[in-house]
Amino acid sequence: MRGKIGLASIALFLLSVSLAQADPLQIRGAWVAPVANWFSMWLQKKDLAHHFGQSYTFEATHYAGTPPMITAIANNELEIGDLAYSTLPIAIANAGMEDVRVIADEFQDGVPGYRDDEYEVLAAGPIKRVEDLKGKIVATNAIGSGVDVAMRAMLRKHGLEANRDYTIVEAPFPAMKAMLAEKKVDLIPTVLPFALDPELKKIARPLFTVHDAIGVSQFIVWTARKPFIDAHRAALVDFLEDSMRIERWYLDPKNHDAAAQIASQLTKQPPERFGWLFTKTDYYRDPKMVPNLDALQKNVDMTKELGFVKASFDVKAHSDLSLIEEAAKRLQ
Amino acid sequence: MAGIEDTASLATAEADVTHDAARRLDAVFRGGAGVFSVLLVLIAWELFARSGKVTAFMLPPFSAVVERIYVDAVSGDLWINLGLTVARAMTGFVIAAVLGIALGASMSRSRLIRWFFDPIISVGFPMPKIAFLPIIILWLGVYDVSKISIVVFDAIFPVVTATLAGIAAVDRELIWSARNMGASEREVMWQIKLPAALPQILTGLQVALPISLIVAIIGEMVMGGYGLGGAMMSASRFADSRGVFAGIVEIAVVGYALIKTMAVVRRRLLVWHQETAEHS
Repeated sequence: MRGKIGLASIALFLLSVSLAQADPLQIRGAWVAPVANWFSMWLQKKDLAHHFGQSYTFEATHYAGTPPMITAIANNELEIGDLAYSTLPIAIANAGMEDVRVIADEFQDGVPGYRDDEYEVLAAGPIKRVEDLKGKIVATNAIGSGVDVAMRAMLRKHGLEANRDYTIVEAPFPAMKAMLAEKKVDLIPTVLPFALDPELKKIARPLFTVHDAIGVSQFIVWTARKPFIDAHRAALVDFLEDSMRIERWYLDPKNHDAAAQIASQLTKQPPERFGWLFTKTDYYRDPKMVPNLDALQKNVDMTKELGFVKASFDVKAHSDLSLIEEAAKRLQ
Repeated sequence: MAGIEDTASLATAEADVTHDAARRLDAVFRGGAGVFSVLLVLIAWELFARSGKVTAFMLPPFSAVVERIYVDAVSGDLWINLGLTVARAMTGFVIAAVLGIALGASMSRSRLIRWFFDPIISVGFPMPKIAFLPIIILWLGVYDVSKISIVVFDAIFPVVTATLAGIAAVDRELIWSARNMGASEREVMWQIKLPAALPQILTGLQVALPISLIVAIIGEMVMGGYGLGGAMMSASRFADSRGVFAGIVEIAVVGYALIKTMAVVRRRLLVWHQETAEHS
């Protein structure tokens, strides 16, 4: 009897171990702005993700900005960080996460012929030059984010320092238009899709752009930690292969109307408003999802020069593009 | 006979000295225990942070935090942030104290005022007033007016309720005696009710004071700009954990100093009261 119970226990144990091994890898990805960030509309095309549910599962989580992602990455609560050029060095140099690696491109800002994010003021307001912002209130989605650091860089170029010369208020991107219209703030960053809101266009005008502040930027990159990459390389390549397939579907002009329909459902705006989606009015997104590491190096060095991080670092040494290259090969 | 009396008085004096010494020893022990427990926590913090079990991002060593506070003090940032936070908290607290005592006293005196404000106080007291922050920002902007307004809004409730309860608990015989001696209602309020209700009013103020500091810091965290809350939020966004923990230590020190100051003020104001006599 005892022998039978022992054998049954061993069988149950082996079964549970094999089941545990067969569990797909859980991957959590972050997004900030709907439509602008891939992860906000990734699951809508999961029918193209051939490995989804087999080698991995995917969950997309919304964040107010890229800085809160750093804490989530540090706590191993976020596997794929959607970090900006400014938050990547904050994570590596300030938070000491030396093992963070750039694994893919999300989008680039200021690439000639493509979208360049703007900072807008009231068209009929008193702000005519950057210097006029002295003593005013400027909005940001999150202190330390890409739009925040570019804005501070531009204001510093004109002799204005945060707190000393102007006040920064955090507000979510969807609330920016109302805050400007109600004169609660004097300058707002506008990112897609909110930047092309017809009502905003009626009341606001651009004062400067991200390109004016920092030049071409590798604005957002996908990141993962090295121990996670090493432990789950095969599943990650599967995930990137599926992600690239989904990205290419969205970027394909013949799918434009269907993509606009998905964007409409996500943002509760009419699909006609998404004529710009994945055209040259949109951000530049590399079809092979390869980030511009030279631009990113310049952005990181600038973030250091502005005093936002303790030290700069070699971006290439903190990148692992082999995953995305392997994924791209599979789709050739 | 005289010898017996001398012996008795000597014994009484000895007993007094022994009692006094025991009391002092108890006071030293209690004070020492307070310092000792804080020291123990700080040592544990330092050792755990240096053990390698956590990164400096998750928990910087206490010594590194102290170093950061020193650097901020030398650069002047600490004094600007500290000064503004304390100024906002204390301005809000003083306004809440004056308005709260006035409203509580008026409610105790006038049935109409009580009829109007009682439901508002009853509904508002248990509510998390900080939920009104977005509305206050919408109406008043993000500068000092809104930061101080939310402090007043939050701190006024314990003052009103303490004043009401304090006045309601005043000995009726005291009030009747004053009236019998020809005191007017105004004199009864200023010379009998308010002084007699002072212990409870001060308790309400002691509750309102830390609330003022907490709300001032939360307001700064949300609205940005200078101040301990704004500095902590900014440090957090730039993954500057030393800056965040420095803010926590600074808030703890300021909070402790304010509470102790309030306790001293209470003892001074209630020098005539039984509770002060018991303490001394």
